[in-house]
Amino acid sequence: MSESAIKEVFISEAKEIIEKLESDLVQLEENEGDQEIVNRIFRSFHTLKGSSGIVGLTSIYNFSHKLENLLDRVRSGDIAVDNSLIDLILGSIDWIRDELFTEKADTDESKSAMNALQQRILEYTGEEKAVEAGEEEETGRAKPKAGVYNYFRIKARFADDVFETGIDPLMIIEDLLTVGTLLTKNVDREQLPALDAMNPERCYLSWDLIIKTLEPVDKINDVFMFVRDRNSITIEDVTASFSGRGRELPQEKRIGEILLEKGIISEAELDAVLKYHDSHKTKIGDIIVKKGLASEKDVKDALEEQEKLKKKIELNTVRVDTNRLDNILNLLGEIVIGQSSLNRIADELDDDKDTGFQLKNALYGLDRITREFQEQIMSIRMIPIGPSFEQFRRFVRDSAHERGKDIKLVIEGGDTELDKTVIEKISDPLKHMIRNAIDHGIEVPEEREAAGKAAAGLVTLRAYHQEGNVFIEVLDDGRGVNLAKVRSRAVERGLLKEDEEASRERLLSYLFHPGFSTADRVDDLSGRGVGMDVVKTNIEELRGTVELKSEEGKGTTIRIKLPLTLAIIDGMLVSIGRNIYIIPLLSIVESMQPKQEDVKTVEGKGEMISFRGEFVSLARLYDLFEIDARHKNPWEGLVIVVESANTRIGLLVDDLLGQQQIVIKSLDNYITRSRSISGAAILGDGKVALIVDIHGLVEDIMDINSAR
Amino acid sequence: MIKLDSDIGVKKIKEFHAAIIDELRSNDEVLIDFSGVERIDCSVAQLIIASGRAARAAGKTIKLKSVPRFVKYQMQICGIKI
Repeated sequence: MSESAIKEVFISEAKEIIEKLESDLVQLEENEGDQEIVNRIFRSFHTLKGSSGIVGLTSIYNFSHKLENLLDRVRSGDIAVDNSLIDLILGSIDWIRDELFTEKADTDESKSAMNALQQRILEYTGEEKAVEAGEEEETGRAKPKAGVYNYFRIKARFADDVFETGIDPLMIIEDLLTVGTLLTKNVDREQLPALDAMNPERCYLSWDLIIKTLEPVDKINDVFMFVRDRNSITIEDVTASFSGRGRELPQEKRIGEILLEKGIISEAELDAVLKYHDSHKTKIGDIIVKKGLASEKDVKDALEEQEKLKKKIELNTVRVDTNRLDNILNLLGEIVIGQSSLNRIADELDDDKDTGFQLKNALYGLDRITREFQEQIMSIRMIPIGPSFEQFRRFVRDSAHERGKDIKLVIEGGDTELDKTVIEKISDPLKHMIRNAIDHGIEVPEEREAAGKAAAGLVTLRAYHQEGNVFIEVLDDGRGVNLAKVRSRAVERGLLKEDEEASRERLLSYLFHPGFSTADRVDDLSGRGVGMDVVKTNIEELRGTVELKSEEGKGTTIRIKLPLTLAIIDGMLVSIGRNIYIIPLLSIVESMQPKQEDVKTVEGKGEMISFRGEFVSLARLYDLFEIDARHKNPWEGLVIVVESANTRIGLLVDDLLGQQQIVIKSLDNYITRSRSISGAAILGDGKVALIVDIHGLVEDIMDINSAR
Repeated sequence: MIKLDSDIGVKKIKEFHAAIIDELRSNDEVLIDFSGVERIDCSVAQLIIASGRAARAAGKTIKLKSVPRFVKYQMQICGIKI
C-alpha cells in the first residue's frame, strides 16, 4: 500500500473515530460514572494515537498521547468527569479535526490552540505525571491483572527502506507495548553497520519480544495492520508455554474475566472459583451461580458478551471505496439494459420454436440472478443510520448550552440500515430539523417546569423500516406549533384569506412553504418554519416525503419517508405518442379506461375523472410535456391513477408497455428544471425514457389547478 | 556538543549522522543534548547505538544530556541502556 493510500485509510478511519468520540463524550457527560463509556473513549484515543503515528502525523500522535494519559487517569478514577473536562476533551477533538481536515493544520493559530489545550490537559494531569504514564506502559502494566493472560511472541523485522513509507518501527513497537506487558525483549542490532558505513536513512534494527496481555491476538494484529505487507512480522501464541492452565478452556475462563471486569465478582472470588474448577471440572458459570457470586442472568449476559467478542474477533471486514461500489452498480445497470435488449429479441422470436422458448427460459433464470446480484450489491451499500444519528449528540449538547436549555438527545433504531448515499444526503436536513427543535420547539427549563414538564427537554431521532421504505422521525417534547400564529402568518403572506377555513393539516403544510422561512420572519412562531422548505426539497430529491404533526404544548414530530435505494426502481413503461415514459410502480394505484360520462370539468379544479366513487384530477401528460399523443380523449386512451402524499391524480397516456427494473441515470440540472421528471433510463433497444417524478408532478398539477 | 532539534527524526538524520562523525573525529567526548526533544524515532535510536560502538572502538565517549523520560523509555525499547 502506498504512503498516500495508507494516509487515505487513516483519514477515513479518523473521521469515524472522531464522530464516535463526540457521541461517547456527550453520553459520558450524561452518565458520569459509566466506566464502559470511559473505556471506549480511551480506546478511541489509543487507536487515533497509534494510527496517526503510523502515518507520520506526529503532532496528532503526541497530542492524542496526552489525551490518552488524561483518559487513563479518568479511567483509574483519579480525575472526575465534569462539564469542564468534557469541554476540554471536545475542544481537543476540534483541534484534531481542524488539523486533519482543514487548512488550519500546522499554522501558528493551530499551534497556539494546541499549546493552550495541552496546558489545560497538564493542569489535570501534571507534566511529570504525563511522562510517567508513558513509562507505565512498560512498568505499570507489569502488575498482573486478574483474568487469563495470553502470551505472544512477536518477531518484527522491518524492511530496510521502511522509513521511506513514513513508518517508524519504534512507534509500532511503542504501540505494541500499550497492548500488554513486555516480558522479554531482544533487540537485534547485528545488521547495524559501523557508524561510517551506515546509511542512517535505512532501518537496521529488529525486535523479538514476548508480551503478556489480556487482549486477543487481533489486538496485536491491529498494531501491525499497516506494516504487515512489506515487513516480516510473525506473531506466535505462546500461551501454552507460559501458563500452567493453558488455553484448553478459554471460554469458561473468559466468563470469569467478564464478570470480574463488570465488578460482579472479586479477584479473590474468581481465584477460588478457578481452583474449584480445576479440581471439579465443572463449568465456571455454573460454579459462580452455585456459589451465589452472581445471578444466572449475570452469567447469561457474560456469555452473550463473550459470544459478541468472539464474533467480533472472527469478523473479516474489508474497507472499500464507495466509488468502486457505485461502479459495480453502474455496470450492473448496463447488464440490466443488455438483458432488456435480449428480452426484446426473445419476445420477437416464435415461442413454438425451441430457440425462442429456450432463450426466454434462460433469460428468466438470468433475470432472477441479476435481481439477486442487485440485492447483494445494495446490501453492501446499506449501512446503519446509528453513527449518523450519533454525530448529532454534540450538536444538540452545544446548541442547547448556547441557548441556556437542557436537552437530551434520544436515539432509537440506530441499527436501521439504508443506502449510504441516502444517509449522506439526509444529514443536512436532519440537522436543520434538530436545530429547529432546539431553537423553537424545546422551551427553557423554567418555562417547561411552569408547564408541568421535566426541566430537560427531549429530542428523539428514530428510524425504522416499514412497507419497503425507511422512516426517520425527529420528535421533540417542546411547545409544539402555535396554529393561530401560523394562520395569521399565512393570511399576512396572502396564502389564506382572512375568513377562509383551513384544516390543521393545511395550516401545518404552510410551514413547508418557501415564504415561511425567509429571514424577515425571525419571530416567536412557536415551533417550526425556519428553512423547512429547504428540508422538504432535499427530501423530495431523494424521492422521499416529509410530514409534520404537532400538538400545542406537547411537541412536534417530523416524519420522513425514504426509499431504500436510489439507484434502481421497478417502473411501468407507458407510451405517449412516439415517446416512452416510466412511472415508478410504487406510485401506481390502478390503470383504467374511463367512460366518456366519467370525465367532468369542475370549475376551479379543471378536468376530473370518476375513480372508485371519488373524483380525481386528470393530467394530460402530452399537454404537460408538450408532445404529440395518439389519444387525446381519456376514454380512448388509458388513465393511470397515481398517488403521492395522500393525493391521487389520473395520468392520461396512450398505452402501457410493461413493467421492468429501471436503472436510474441522473440528468443534469438544466434538463430537470421540471419537477415532474426525476431522471432517465436507457431501455433495451437503446432508447432513452424519462422517469416521471410523481411527487413533483402531483405538486405541479395542484399548482396549475389552484391557479385556475 | 550536538544540540538536537526538537523534531529530530529521519528527515534530519543525515545531518545528525554527519555531525556525530565530525564530532567524534575531533573530540574524545561527544555530548548530545536532548533538551526540548519530545520523542525520537528508530533512525535516531540506531544512530545512537552505532555512535556508541564507534566511540568505544576508538576509546572515546558519547554522553547524552537532558534526555526526557519518554525518550529514555524509547531508547530502552531499542535496547539502549541509559
